Amino acid sequence: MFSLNQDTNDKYLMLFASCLITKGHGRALLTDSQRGKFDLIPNDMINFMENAKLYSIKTLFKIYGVENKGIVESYVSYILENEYGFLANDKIRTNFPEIKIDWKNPSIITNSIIDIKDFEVTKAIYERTISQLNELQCEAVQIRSYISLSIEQLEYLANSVKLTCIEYLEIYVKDSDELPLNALIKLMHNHTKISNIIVHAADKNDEYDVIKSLSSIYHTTQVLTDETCCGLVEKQYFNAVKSHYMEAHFHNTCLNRKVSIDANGSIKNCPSMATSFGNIKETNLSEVIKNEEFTSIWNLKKDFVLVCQDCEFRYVCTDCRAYTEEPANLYSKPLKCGYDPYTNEWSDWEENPLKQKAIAHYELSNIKRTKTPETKNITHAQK
Amino acid sequence: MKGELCNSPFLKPFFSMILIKSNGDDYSTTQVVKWLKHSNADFLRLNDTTFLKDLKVIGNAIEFAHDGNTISLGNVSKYWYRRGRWDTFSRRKLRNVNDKTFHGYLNYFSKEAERDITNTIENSLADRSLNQYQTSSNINKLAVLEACKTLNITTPKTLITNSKAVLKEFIITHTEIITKAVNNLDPNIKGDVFADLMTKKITLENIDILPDSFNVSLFQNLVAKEFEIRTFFLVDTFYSMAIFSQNDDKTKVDFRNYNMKSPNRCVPYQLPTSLETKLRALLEKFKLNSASLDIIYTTENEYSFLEINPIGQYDMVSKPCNYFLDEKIANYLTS
Repeated sequence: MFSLNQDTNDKYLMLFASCLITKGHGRALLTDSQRGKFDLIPNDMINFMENAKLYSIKTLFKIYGVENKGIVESYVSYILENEYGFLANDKIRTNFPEIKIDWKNPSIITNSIIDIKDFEVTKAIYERTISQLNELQCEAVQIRSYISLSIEQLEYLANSVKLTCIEYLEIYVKDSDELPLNALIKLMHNHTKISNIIVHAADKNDEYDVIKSLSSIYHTTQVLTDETCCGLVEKQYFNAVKSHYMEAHFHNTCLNRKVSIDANGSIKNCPSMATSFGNIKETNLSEVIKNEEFTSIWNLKKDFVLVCQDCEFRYVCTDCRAYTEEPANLYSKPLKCGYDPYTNEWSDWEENPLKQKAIAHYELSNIKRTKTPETKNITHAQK
Repeated sequence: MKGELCNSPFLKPFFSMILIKSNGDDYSTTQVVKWLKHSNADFLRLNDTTFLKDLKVIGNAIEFAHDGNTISLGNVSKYWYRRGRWDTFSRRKLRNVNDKTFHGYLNYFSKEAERDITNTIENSLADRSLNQYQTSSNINKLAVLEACKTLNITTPKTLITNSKAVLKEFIITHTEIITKAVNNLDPNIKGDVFADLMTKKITLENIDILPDSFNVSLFQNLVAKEFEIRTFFLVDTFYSMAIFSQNDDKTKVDFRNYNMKSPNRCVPYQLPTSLETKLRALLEKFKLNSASLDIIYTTENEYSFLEINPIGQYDMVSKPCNYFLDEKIANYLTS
């Protein structure tokens, strides 16, 4: 435990600029955006850290008094022990500016989802789609195949991105005898742009690193039946990496700069959403992105979403605009979120009586129990 | 590369272009290029492997062919030297020369010729360059240290010697010392214990096994650091970052769960104006308008300047500090 001594007396407790606090209704989130981690803290600590900017450690102890000595000690220890902050002397503490909350990206489209239910249907539009994504400087593509594919078909999908600016290709594919692990490993060695392959409906859960911390193969027993599987808001999907945390201050972290091609070739913000902006067969992506109706949702940030705007997780959350509690309300909270920022409790969203109407609206009841595998967020996986 | 000539008979065809010299695999160049595409700027990226075909130098008029187009340097609006060398002499052809001695001669003279031609090309772009090969590729560390003295920039105590006795005296005075390459290409103390390009700490035992005389090398006293500073200078602004590679305060308060696996803390930093002014003068002296600089903030609350690296990886500063330096470079090039 931290205790005052001669070396620390006149120093100031400072947070590292990449450690950022988000105030929620009942508690706060300390996001370590450099190391991609987050931690819950009491809202009281926000005030304490504000005071720490003004007063030296010694003075802080004085201000909070003998009765709060234990709390002050525990706060200081917590910050230092977790390396969320450091002690700086008076001479240099003003040389540590705050990090600028800002997000920019030169790509018109940064990420894309392509759904597959029938390989021939996708094959007919695939190269056209990839070449248009390349023109828009798209960085990451996620392919979600609800059916099984052969190695040759996966090879075809990977080949087309080879000479493009697409850097990360993530593939979800249904398990089959045609996809043994060694064949997938070989595929990934030949196509280094494939960042992850997630084999769903497998008979076991496991994880295999193809290239350490760069590319992996995941097997999951969970089954992806169709696009209604998407949209879960859970702690495991939260993303505390700086670019995501920053983007969330200005944009919708799921849909910003995203263009999706559903299994029929319809151009959408997200395959789970109803509105189509034309079929890729006859419509150009560059035309779609000029349509304000298509792009306005990119700016629907969490600060605008009801309930979410009071949530401490709002800048690490992945959000979902396809399934909301009130389907007619654009600003309504994600349906598949079981967290209540007012009670700070997680519960099962599917059991929530208030959500049953919306669940019925989206016809989700029959697939309620199927959970999606953990989506690796490739959008901002800048390696 | 796009660049449409204006067809109007009343207007002179206007065509200007950004010229980038880099390596094919340089990540930062690719990022800057994305920003250039974002703002529809015309640019030409020449990589290490791009041989200058049909090069024509007549006085100030310099031209070469690229992708079926004639590139005239007179049309270059900005030139960014990022990395790599200008391939004017196609040294690749020398591979076919079998005679080793003859190959050595040819290689030497073609390098010399290549350097002279590169200088000529770059001199014609001098007023619109973001760095140049001739100033970036061969920084003389000794000259930099000398300039620091004149500009009153604190550096570690430095010794250049080839004598064991002199070195021994130096380590006795300073207790802890390091050695590093005098020149980026020359490993120091060749054939002995510390033939390495990296900065290495030296002990008395290391010195004891040295011959009385060795290859001339650079030694400095090891400066006790509170934290390190890496700063990226772009045209007139310093973008600085503090790196907590060794936080004394933390050990003082007795860390229980220190996680060694966590990356060093890298946070935005603001250098004092007085130091920035001196560093600006230093960079100007070496004709650099962009460079990475390494500095130590010592436990004595002083700044100790280590070195300049004109082609350093600025991305390691840009990302942690959210500086968006790629965009800033692109903005400069299109300005």
